[in-house]
Amino acid sequence: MSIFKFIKKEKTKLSNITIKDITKVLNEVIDPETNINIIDLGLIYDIKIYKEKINIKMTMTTPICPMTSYLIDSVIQSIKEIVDIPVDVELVWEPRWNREMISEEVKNHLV
Amino acid sequence: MTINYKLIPFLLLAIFNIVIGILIGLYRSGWQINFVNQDIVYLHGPIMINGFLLTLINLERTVAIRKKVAFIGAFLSGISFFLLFLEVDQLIIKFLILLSSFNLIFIYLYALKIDKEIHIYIQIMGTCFLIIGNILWIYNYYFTHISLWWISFLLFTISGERLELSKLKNFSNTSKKIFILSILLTTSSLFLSFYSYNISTRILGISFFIIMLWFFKYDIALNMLKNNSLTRFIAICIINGYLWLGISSMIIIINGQFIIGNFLYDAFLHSFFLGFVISMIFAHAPIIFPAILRIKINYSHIFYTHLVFLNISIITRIIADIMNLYYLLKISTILNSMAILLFLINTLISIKINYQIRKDVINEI
Repeated sequence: MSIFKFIKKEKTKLSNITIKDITKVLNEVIDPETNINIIDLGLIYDIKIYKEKINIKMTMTTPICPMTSYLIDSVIQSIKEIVDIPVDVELVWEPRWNREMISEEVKNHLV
Repeated sequence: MTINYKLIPFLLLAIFNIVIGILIGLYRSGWQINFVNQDIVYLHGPIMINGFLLTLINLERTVAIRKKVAFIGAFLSGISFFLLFLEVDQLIIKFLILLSSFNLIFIYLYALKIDKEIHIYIQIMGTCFLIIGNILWIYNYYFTHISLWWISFLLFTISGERLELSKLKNFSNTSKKIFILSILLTTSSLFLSFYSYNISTRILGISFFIIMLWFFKYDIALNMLKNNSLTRFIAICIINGYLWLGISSMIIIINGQFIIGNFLYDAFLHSFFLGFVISMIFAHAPIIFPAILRIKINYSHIFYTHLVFLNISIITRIIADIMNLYYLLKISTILNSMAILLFLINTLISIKINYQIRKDVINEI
């Protein structure tokens, strides 16, 4: 909890934010059913940092995933923890998500 | 994350239905419930499936596809049985339920445009079973037959969901074929029930058993047992549900022919609905509540109390059914109801605890 407190007080300037920073916070967004983060699950397709906003392209493992809104909100919230700027999350279905998009480490864990 | 207050009325409708369904169930087992009369006494099953579960499934799918128009399904099934108290003709209620079932089909068809995966086809098949069951209900067909269609609807809906998650794992083509064969076996046995009920129920039981074994091998829940607290709780509930699915399959394989009032019919139905379906609800509630209402639930080990209590209550009920012990059956229905009540209480407490923690953290900052 104390880490979040620190981050909340010391938000990074947009000019200093990198895709690596965004990926790092998205590593903390966990799908509660599998307990796997959305980066390892391969749900994040693209991260773009503009002057006035951050764009994220993400997908779900299925269009009837009940976690859709929850995960989108979590993505926005986690990025806003480190930088105070509008975050646009675009839900995309192409290419379709498949098992090959999961990180190797998680794949090995799921064998 | 702000609470999605707009969805609370839908959830309240679902809770209204389960409460009415439980009260009618208690009346059927011999308890005195004042508002229940002979006109609605046979509605215990229809309310639980169409009033409670169909509302929840419609709601969950609508939130997922993010199309407001689809909320009509959850509204129709949620409100239908409320109309009983306004003395609306039961035929109208049955038609509203049928419309709600069609809404679910449209949701799946929309999803199918995006993703032509087998798990969506299976859920469409399941919803077709619900529609057939509801049409038979409109025609006042035998409940012992209708229940098979409704049960298969729930099995296919849950199987579709679990299959979707199982695609995280790698399984062979042979295992896929076995799964598809068991799905086809279920479907054929349902149609066979119009011609030979006794044989069809046994085949249905066999297909349920194969599906249960398949998930015991391939469900991702097995990989989640060594995980953190919440994920492990979810996995345990899911495995618990499969065990009950296996037990209900065995009952139907052994017994075959069911008639209304038969104690083993009660054992079959409740090992499936309470053991399998409610275990799955217990598993998903801590993650579905946040997804639907944007309310965070603070997981606590106390969640195991409602799971353990549920199991004790079903075991009591099945012992009463097998040994034809009417008074024990009567007590077991109270225990079943208390398990669901305990689940609701534990969930509400965990929401309250979570809000207290958030408030404290904000104050600290």
